[in-house]
Amino acid sequence: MSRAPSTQSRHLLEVKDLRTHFFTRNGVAKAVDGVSFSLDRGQTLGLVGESGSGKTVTLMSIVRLIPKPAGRIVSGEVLLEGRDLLKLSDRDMREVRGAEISVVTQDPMTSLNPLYTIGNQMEEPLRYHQHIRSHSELRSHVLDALKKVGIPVPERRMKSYPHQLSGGQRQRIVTAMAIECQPSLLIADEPTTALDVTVQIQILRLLREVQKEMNLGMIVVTHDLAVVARVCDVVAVMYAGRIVEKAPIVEMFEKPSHPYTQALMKAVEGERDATGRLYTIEGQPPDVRRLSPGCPFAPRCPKVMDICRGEYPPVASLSSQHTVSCWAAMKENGIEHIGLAPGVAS
Amino acid sequence: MTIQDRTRPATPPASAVITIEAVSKVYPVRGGVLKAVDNVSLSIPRGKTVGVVGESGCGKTTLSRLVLRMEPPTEGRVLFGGRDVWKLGRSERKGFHRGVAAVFQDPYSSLNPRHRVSQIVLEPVRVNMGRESGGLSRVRLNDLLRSVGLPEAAAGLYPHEFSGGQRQRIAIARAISLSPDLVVLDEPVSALDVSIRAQILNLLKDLQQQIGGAYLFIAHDLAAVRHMSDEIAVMYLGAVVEYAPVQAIYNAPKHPYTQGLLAASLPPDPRRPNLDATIFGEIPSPIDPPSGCRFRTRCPIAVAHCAEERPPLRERGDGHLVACHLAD
Repeated sequence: MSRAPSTQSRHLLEVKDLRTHFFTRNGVAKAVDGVSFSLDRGQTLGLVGESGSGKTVTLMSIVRLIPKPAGRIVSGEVLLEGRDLLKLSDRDMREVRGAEISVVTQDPMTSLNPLYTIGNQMEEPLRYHQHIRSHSELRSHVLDALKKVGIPVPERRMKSYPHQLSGGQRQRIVTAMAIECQPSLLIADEPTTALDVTVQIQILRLLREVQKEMNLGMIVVTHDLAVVARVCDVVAVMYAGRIVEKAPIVEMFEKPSHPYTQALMKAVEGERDATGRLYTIEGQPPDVRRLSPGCPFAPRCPKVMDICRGEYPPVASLSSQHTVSCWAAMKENGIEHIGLAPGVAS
Repeated sequence: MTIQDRTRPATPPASAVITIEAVSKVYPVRGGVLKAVDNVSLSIPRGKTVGVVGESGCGKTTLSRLVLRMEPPTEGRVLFGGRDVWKLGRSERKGFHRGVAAVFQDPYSSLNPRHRVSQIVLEPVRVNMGRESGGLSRVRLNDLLRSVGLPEAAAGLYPHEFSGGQRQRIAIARAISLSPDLVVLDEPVSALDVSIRAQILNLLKDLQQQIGGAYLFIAHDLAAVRHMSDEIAVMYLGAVVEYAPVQAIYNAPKHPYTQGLLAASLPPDPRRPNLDATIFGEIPSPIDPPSGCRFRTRCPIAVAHCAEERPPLRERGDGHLVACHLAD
């Protein structure tokens, strides 16, 4: 799907051919290897994948928080409203983080400072990014943000310490902190994984409401398709550092085309065979330090063909917004391989 | 202390591997007491699985510690093969430890990183059989590795050389090394990737058929226990609120808490992205639980009466026990 490079940016965020590699003693781990996607304001993208698929590294590359020196963004572009974040100085990037892009992480206990009150730490981004100095103004901003995320009695909560709050409330506080500087892009990394199931729905609902109300672009990284089904407009499934399938949410659930996506769907639905055994995907996810030239899912794939082992499939369009990288899916949908270099072989 | 109706699950304790009789566990804490487990009774016969489901703070892990004899109960008894586990003599205690094994949630912290797989898997054999184990162990090791789907070559490797799913297989091999009568499975798949979970659940089920042991399967949501369990106990703030055969829990849940949990673990459907929580708020502090029904503060159907009287766990036919004034 190589479109002519559009110089005028219509998208809020455009990630082009991002590659982030980790240089370790045991070889180069291609954690993210050629990821491209775009996101508009008011849209929520789900990045789904298992551990090691590169979903978190993709996010951390967008905000440039890759652990150095092992990790390095080796190529690609991350355009936020047309500006390439990868070309910014560290200082300029700090201005972007927390102001234009905010991150909600998995564990609200570790993302809050245990030694400061909620009010205290919520004022910090306002001081830093919006240069607000007056106490009463800071306070009213914080109270507004707390009210927006449904914290009861915010005046009292401002004086609490993180350990005095429950997990769900902490996640609400972290969300309040993320939106108080009016960002345009909100990134949530496994926002509900650490929470109880009955609390998860409440937090997902909050994220959805905040995103709609502020017309944010949102990226939700998760291993859980149920989370995606509840809040996302578009889903991208990652495997071994690449996006293997991307589609609008309903289309993805109705017509999953990559064998890996199909397998994930069966797994979450708890599908069983005639003997009552659960459907499984055999084998293990691959080691991204030792990838063969072919499709990395080939060793586990029920539809594997000869070509899969030798050559990584190109990105094929199944509909205007549905793309897949799979030789078998191309064959099933009657898409010819037009001998062109796939552009992703490396 | 509330005196609850002592209606017991249908299984007669005589045939049971493990029986928990009206067990409570109370911890003294600053500012009062914490009742982690509150008058819980259940029993598991050979070859059967009881699933215990509940959110953090519901007492499911304390329950597993009581069953594993890691903590004495404050009240009630835990019977293994009909004998109170805290009244066993020295040799009987050995028998208990031979007969009971556990698999924990985190396959990273539950395996000693400095031991090879062979040592890890055979440690129960070495500890319990002493010298007799010698010649036996090589053959036994290969059998065990094969039965959990690991290659024989795994024996010489260290835990860090394996993925999470494979580590859990190692932990399972260790757990079954003495063909235990009871295996306590404390969230054995929660830390694993979706694509690996089903492999481990299938493996556990196969092994149960081979060794015929009883399983106590602990989980925080209803999705994982469904495939494994014969009966399910749903816990909330230390007490069982619903206990029923697995089909009854999934097809006709009676307690509003079970209904909410079930709604939260339904397969995803993007056309109906259900974000309307039926259960609001979060679990209250177990140090200062609500009066009457513990669940009433989050219950969508609570009435005034629920604050006054605590509903007993009562049988509503076919071994279906519910603790709710409003369920029928």
